[in-house]
Amino acid sequence: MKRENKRVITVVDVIILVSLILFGYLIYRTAFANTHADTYEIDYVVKVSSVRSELSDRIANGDEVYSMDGEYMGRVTAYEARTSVLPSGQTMPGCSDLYITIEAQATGDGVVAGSEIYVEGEYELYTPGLYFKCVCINVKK
Amino acid sequence: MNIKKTKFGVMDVFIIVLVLACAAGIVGRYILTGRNGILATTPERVSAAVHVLVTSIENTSADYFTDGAEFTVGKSGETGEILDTTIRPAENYDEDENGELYISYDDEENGKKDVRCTLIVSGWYRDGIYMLGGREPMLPGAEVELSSEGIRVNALILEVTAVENDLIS
Repeated sequence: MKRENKRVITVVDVIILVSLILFGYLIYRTAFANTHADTYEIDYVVKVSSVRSELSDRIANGDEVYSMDGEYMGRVTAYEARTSVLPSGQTMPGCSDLYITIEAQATGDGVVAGSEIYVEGEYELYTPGLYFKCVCINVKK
Repeated sequence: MNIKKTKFGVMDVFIIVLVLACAAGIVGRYILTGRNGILATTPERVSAAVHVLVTSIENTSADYFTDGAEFTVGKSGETGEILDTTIRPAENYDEDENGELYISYDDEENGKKDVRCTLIVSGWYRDGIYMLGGREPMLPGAEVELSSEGIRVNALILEVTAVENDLIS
């Protein structure tokens, strides 16, 4: 009598299948992640305190904003330089406070390029013309 | 003696092909896009004038900033030659009798100094940003460490402008 050729799924088969599924998922994520993500527009305002006046005009509408990791954080849509006022109420001669409105595409709960944008959040950002440390003072979703 | 014969199946071929493809991918990526790869583009080194401000340093420390002196800029290890040095009494904020702040200056002879100068450095532009050592951005508003023999200070970058190489002697 001929012995029945039994096909058994082995551990190796499982590993291969899991690897294939993982490969497929990673390829899918790499190729399509950004196009399929649910993004929405977000406007956030950041304040840069006490910038020397000679640096305060180095930003302009339309400038692209990046994080220090080089991630795109949005585009400047409005910008205002006001006299720098200390918490004591004293004005600082020769310095300005910058108010920069940035428009960006966010996912989830106001996450832009992996950074959650929230009021009182502190960020290090740059445009091609200016590096600045800032605090977020307003977010519109 | 019962010897179990292992058959070389389709799955084995598949695994070998997969492993070879992965290895080929890694090697191919290096050959094509690695630092010295066929498709790698080496950006042209460009000289730039980095205008900086060093604030409130000791009177004697300001003497290190003379035209022609060389300083190491940031962590990049790149050196820059100093030009157009201006040394002035350090700016301070003082209060007047009404509690308003005003800018005052240290004593001309014995007080601290603010130094403005230009460093001629060599680096690359990447995405419109001037980079030293390939990874240290030179951005107005940022601070950078300047060091030379016996001195190390932080400087505020005020402006970065590209300069033509043939203008530098």
